[in-house]
Amino acid sequence: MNSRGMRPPLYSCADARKLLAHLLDQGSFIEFCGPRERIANPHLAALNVPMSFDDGVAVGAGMLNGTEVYCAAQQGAFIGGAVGEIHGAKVTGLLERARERKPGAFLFLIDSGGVRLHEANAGLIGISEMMRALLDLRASGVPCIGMIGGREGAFGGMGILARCCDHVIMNEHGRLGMSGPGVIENVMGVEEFDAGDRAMIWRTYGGKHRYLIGEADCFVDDSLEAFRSAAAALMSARTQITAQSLGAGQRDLEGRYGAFRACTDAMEIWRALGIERPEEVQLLSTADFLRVAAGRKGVPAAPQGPMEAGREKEARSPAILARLFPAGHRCEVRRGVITGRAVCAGREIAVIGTTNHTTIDIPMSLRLSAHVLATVESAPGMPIVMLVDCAGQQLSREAELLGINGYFAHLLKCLHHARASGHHLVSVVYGKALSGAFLSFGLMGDQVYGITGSEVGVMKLSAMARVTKISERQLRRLGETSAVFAPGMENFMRLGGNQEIWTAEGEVEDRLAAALRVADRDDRRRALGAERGGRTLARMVAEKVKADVAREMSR
Amino acid sequence: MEKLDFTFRCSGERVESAAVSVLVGVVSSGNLEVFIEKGGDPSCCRVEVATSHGGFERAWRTLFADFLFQYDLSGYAIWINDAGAVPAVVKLRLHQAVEELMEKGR
Amino acid sequence: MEQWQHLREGKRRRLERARQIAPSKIVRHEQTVDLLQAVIEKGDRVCIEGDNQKQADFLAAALARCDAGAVSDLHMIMSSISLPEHIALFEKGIARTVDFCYSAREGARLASLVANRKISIGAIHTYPELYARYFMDLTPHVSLICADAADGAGNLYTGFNTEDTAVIAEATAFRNGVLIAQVNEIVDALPRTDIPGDWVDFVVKSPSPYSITPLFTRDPADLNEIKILMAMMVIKGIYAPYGVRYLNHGIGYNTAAIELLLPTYGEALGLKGSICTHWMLNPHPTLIPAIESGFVQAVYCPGSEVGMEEYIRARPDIFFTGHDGSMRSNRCLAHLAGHYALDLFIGSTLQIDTRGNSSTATVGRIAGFGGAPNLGCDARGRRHGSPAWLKAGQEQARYAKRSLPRGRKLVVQIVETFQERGTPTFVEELDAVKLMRDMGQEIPPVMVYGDDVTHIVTEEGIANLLLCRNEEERIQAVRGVAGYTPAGLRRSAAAVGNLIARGVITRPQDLGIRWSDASTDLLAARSVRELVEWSKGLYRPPRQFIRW
Repeated sequence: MNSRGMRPPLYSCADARKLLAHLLDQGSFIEFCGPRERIANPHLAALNVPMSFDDGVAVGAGMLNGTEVYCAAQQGAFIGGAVGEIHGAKVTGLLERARERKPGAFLFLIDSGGVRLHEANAGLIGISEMMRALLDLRASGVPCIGMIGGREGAFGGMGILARCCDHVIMNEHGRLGMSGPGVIENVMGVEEFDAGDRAMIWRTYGGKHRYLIGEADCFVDDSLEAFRSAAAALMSARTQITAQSLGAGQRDLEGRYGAFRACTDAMEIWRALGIERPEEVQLLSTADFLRVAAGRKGVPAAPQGPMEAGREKEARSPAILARLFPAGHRCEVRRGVITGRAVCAGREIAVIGTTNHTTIDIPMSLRLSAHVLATVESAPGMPIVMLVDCAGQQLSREAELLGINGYFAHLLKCLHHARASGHHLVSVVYGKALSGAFLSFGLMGDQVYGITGSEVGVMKLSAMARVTKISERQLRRLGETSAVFAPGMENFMRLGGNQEIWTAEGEVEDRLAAALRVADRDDRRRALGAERGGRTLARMVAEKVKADVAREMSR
Repeated sequence: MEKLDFTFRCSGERVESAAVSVLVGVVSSGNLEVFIEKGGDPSCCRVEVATSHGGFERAWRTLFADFLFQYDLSGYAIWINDAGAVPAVVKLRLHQAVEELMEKGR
Repeated sequence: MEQWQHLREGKRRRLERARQIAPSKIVRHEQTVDLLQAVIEKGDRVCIEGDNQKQADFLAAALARCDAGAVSDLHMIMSSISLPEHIALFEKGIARTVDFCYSAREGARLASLVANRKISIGAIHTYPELYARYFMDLTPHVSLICADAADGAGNLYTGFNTEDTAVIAEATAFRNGVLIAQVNEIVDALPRTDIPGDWVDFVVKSPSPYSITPLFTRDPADLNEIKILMAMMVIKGIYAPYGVRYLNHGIGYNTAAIELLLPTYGEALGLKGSICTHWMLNPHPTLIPAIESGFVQAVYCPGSEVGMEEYIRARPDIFFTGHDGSMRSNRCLAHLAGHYALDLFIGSTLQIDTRGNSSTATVGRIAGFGGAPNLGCDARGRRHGSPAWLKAGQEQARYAKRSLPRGRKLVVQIVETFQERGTPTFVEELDAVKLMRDMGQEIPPVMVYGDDVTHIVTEEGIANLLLCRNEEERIQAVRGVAGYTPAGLRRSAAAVGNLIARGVITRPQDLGIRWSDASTDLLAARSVRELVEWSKGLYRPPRQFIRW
């Protein structure tokens, strides 16, 4: 308390700029592409939603204990910290520039519900671009540290992205997950998740639980000083994504699923971890909690029982396989997941994917990642074709308890590793490609192609109308002129989200063969979106950030 | 969105600052952000408001007139993004912004 | 039958019928409806215990299940109408008339009962006013009360939430009424006896514990900077200059902010020990930091608050506790203290007119008042002095013609000029006036009368109405703090300027308050989590407040 009675700020209560001011060495923060630019957001204006001069994120550079770091801090209070076109481009621009300039660390202060529905398609692609840029930055040797301690937490695409960082620091107020309680209650009913039961929400997503199951690396007090010293300590502890680390990750995640999948409440997991009074855990202070958690964090050694029910192969192979690979394939289809090999243009390729508008759950995600890892190990350089037909991720409390977002992040890391090891990743969307499930593998392709008639987007307009409180009629009317939020392959195309649209009839086989010959491995989506006129701000904003870095940091 | 654009002659305490600009507040339901920047006509203060809650021009005008009677912000521009803040919050943010500007002036 | 024994005979008659169903004092819960039908006679005055905290909900539901042919035309006497079962009594025709205090949750349904002529409202009271009538013209024939536990002899333990039980039991038992209690458990030995068993006629163990709402818990995380700014103004502009030591805080976020600023802002102003030492207050969790930092010396509670039990038990120097360690609360006595022994009452409201009258009644809802009218008025029967009371009296004496020195209770209304949805708080005429006409009442449901109010606090400033020389000045003082509401915009700039110059209106800048200090970081606790920490883990918040 100072002489006027003011107490030191809490991480959970501070806004983005206050957080940065206190986390970094005093007065060292320099903001790039800041509010002075006053970049207008036409997508929000079209929906009569007030914009913000910074589009809900502050990006910049500063010093942490004398070491230069780059950082991005999301403004949770502005539309839930959700990612739109400008917001995403600011972060991606900085991540990309950091790769060249190699600061001591990249600090990502996450406070976001994921994709901003008012500009859903741009947000989805924007998060995917952030994911690729962040994994590339890690590969270049700059440690990325995610901090989750604000009121919005890290959900949806941001929940996956958080787990792509080297380290995650959380306090007990922070929440980390894939689908939020409100979404699950809305779709699956109050019996699945009572979104009014706050204690249960935090037991499911909160920092303590995430720390205990290994989804957060560091659990700290709700003070800025605690986050600051944790970040400083982790800065030097860089982790690398390697075949070994991913193999170990795969085993850990399988172990967690095997051990806890029957649990319906976090307290059961905590008891299984050896915590004697799980009902007391939420009330424990940080210090007491860390004492209780010491040596109990993580997973019991051996997974128990079979991973999935219904292991038998599905009799009918999806038509897409025959159409894409008339020369033959050896693909197995089980519970909506495709894995195997195929021949295309006389060349053997690996195949992963989904079918039957499936919703991806944890064991499915694990099988996809296992197949990617096996391909990298057994067939160096073999192209990987990803066939996308998924209606979303599993919406359930159990999946969230186990950290389904962490499983998706693991899949992304495996794909990143494959790319880095010389595998060409080609995605073909042939059915549904919706929201988080699309982010978790399809959008990771070097190029993404779509077959006409596919349904691509974040959510249906009716659901979007409910969440944004904007009438469906208004959304539909605006969707006719704007590609930015309404679902549809053509809209995605205009935004640069996919390379081409293939007609259903005819030569998809030849198109795939041609796609496999494309040598480009860089993320071109921003440029494509600008050229096609559907997403013009992202490129401009990312360039502006890069120019600001160049100007400010050369002083 | 309703856009309001005012220009005021100021009186009252002169706001001196070394800072070029200041931003306070976050746009969220019932809240607003106030961005004050040096520049423009040195004889008056320009105010631009973008608000999702239209129909309150008189209250905005009176509030700014009162505020710029208390503080002389000639040669500054005030930019506001508003998501339906009540006058109490608007006034609080304006005061916070000016206090921060003056603090940076020292 | 002797001429003077009608009531006693009535009770004997009722008990005789009841004994055929329930031969002993302890009644199985399945027999409750039969018991009530046996005991209650047509047209009886019946009291169901229940206020804004605990509810005799099982007995209320049983009464609502009675056959309207067997039980009808009842005159209900109840502190609150807050359960759907209460409304059902009137819909089914079991009851016809009601005298009550408060009906927040069911306010809209109550209004529709009135419109459909299903109910006749006697009057809407303040709590102690209704208790008073238990002993005058509204003594119950049958009262349905609730307690934590009973023993085999019918002795009752009311735990932390005695609230209205004692006064209802007293009124009923000593005028030959029938007293029926629902209890959470029946035990061999009670921790403490709150109601003697020989007052109690029947005890029913309800299938589930009586319902209780954590009504007074305010999550500090929901406090905004405006509330903090106004709380700073109250501490620096009212509590400090008057030296307010004995007080009550109305329910709400405004007062929660004041409580949370005492250990920080109040401490920084050097006010510990000189303000806010003695309280009549429910055990607000937001008071914990002020207690822990030594501001508070004593708290007398009208009721308890869910989750505060262990904290209270561990702080017997502060709270009134029994030999068993649990708290004793009593709403009737608390209101007596609140009426006669306070320096100050501060509370919020939904509407204030330009004369300073305030009301929470809005069209289409009949809400009632609870305790505010009793606490928010000057106690003209008070004869003991305290510095704050005397100073307020001196201020009032400047312009009121008084030949003898007198004191004055400070009655403060604290409001933002606009409600959250942009509705102005300040109006030219209260909705209560229209409501009076709609309900056919003789007087409007005004919560605090303008002539009882001494100060109005808004984000614009503090209006000290004691210092106004005449009615016209008072109106300008109210308009002067009414900001940009239509009522505020009708102020005379010259008159308000004069009031500011004379110190009748004090703005934040006049008090030397920095607006930037109105930050959540000035709160002693910024979340329920921090309240738990202040309490050293003794406060156990209900799970809807666990946001971590």
